Amino acid sequence: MRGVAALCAQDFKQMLKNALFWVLTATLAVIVLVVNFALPAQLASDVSEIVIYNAPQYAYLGETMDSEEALREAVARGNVVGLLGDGESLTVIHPPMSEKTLNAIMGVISGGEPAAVTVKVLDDGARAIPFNQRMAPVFICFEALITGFILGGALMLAEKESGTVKALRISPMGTFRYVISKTLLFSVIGTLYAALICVFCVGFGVAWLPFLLLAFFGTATITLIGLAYTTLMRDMGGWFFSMTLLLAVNMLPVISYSSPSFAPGWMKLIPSYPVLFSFEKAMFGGQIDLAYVVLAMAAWLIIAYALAHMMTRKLFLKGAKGA
Amino acid sequence: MKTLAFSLAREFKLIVRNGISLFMVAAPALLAVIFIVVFGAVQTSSLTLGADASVSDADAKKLEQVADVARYDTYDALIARIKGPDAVAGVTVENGQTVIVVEGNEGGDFATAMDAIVGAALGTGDLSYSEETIEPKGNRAYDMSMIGVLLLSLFIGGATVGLGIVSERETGAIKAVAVSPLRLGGYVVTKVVPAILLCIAGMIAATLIMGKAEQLPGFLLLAVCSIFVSGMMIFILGAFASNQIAAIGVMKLLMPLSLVLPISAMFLSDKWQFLYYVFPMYWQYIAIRAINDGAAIWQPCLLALGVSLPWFAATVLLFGKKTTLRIGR
Repeated sequence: MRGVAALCAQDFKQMLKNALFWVLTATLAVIVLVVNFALPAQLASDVSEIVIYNAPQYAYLGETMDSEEALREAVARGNVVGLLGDGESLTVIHPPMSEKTLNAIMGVISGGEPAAVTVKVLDDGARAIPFNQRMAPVFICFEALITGFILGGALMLAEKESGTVKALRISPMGTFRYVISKTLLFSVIGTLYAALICVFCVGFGVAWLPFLLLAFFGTATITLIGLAYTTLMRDMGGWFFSMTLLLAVNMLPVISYSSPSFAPGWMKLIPSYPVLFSFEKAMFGGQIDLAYVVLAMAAWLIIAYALAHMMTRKLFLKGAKGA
Repeated sequence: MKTLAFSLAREFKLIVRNGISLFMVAAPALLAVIFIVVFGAVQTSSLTLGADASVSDADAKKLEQVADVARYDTYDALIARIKGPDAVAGVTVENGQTVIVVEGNEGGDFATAMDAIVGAALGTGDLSYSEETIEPKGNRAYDMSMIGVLLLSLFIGGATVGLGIVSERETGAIKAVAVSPLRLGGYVVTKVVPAILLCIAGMIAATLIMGKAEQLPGFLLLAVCSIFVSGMMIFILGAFASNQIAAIGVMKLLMPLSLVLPISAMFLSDKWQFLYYVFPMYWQYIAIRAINDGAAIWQPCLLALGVSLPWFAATVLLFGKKTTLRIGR
């Protein structure tokens, strides 16, 4: 335990020496300003508009265009469906969409007698989340939780470039203590960072226990993946820019978060997917799918630790004895 | 002149020697591929509905025409699905009445839209039509991703060379440059020229992969007009980071600033856009949007160039002060 604490203190001092906490503070300030002042509470609807030409029976549905070219131009602008009549038949001009989506749109505008259906809302107290606040989990997931990935990796590479790693290799510290110390330090920093983003962007009224657990173990997992990845790199430049690709892939769940009906199976395999949606539930109410989240995060934590331990021992510490 | 040429050649050798740097020029292009594939899948995805055993096979077949329908044996299983992280509505039958079940936190007009779609699908409407697909110029999510990819290629050009300056400061090589005949102006040229060439190479690759070859001249003009933005990033890194760890910290701050600031302008109402006028990244974003929309690009490109010049000059002077490089004779 003392060894882990000593390593944590060493890394902490490096972060202080290089003003990295100022960097985190400045980034936090940017995020708070963007969420609270730049992003709107309500987003303009992405629902398709309808434009019509030469089909007066549908004029009530949307804007009538002056010409077929104007209709095609409007459709090309995106999120617009055009109804082009030629007296007898109707042509629907639309952006790429699935056949089912087109059927759904045309079914609604067909003007036939709809079936009598009622709507039941499970949670009457559930509130629609303002768009700007809804982006807070995105910033938490892809800024706070990746702190360990970036800064842990940077410290690791600096140890390699400065030659400190040679001393680490012959010290009795071991791979386990090395990996755990970095993971623990950045899990705490990432959790604190996430909590600050939450407080300044959303407030104190969140489910803190699941939030803090998600932040802690989420940061731990991403940090371990980062450490494993960093062992493959030789210099900062190559590491930093190649890491952006990896982090970009990790960010793909934002697409499902923005378009909730798009949730392919492969998306759910990305480690940030369960964390992002669970943050939303923890911060804005709703039931977290505990079984799925616990299983997914535990699996990723185990895989990430195994990879980090093995690669750190083989490639970074090169055979240093584990604890 | 000879000193300048020699220094430029050395700079290119350092970049090319590190194969990763060249790979990173292609990184935005690789990201473009990922986004194109994913957004293609998003565009062609369908609505998802859940239906429990009370919904007849005939009705389920009608619903299959408008959505991907997942069947559940029990009402409780349906409810569990509705409460999942994504927005899924459920369909059940209670007392002979078709009921659409929603969680309540989907926001917007989700419940109303489900009501209309399911009602129409199960109703008597029938409309015959032919269809034609037109490729859109872009929607907001697609535009945002593409702008992010292109801004990243601009950033990488500057940061790749900036890390070289940090390395010079760390090893002390900058002191040799300070006493050499090379002045600050010449030093700036040896750094900015390779950076802008890297940036241009990255933008060409990303533009071609995104299938926007016809817009390449516009993007190249933007890359050239971004010369001071790249230069600004190079010398911010060089001025504020004396070692590699500090450089990572500076880049960690610079990257979100250069990406998030202009993208956040997308959401701000027109009356507040003036707050972004002092940032050259904002004009880069306006230029990219103009290129995508086929609008005139000269004004935003020239504004990106003009607005970035004082920022660039300030960072170069700060760098010169920190490294004691000689400004004049």
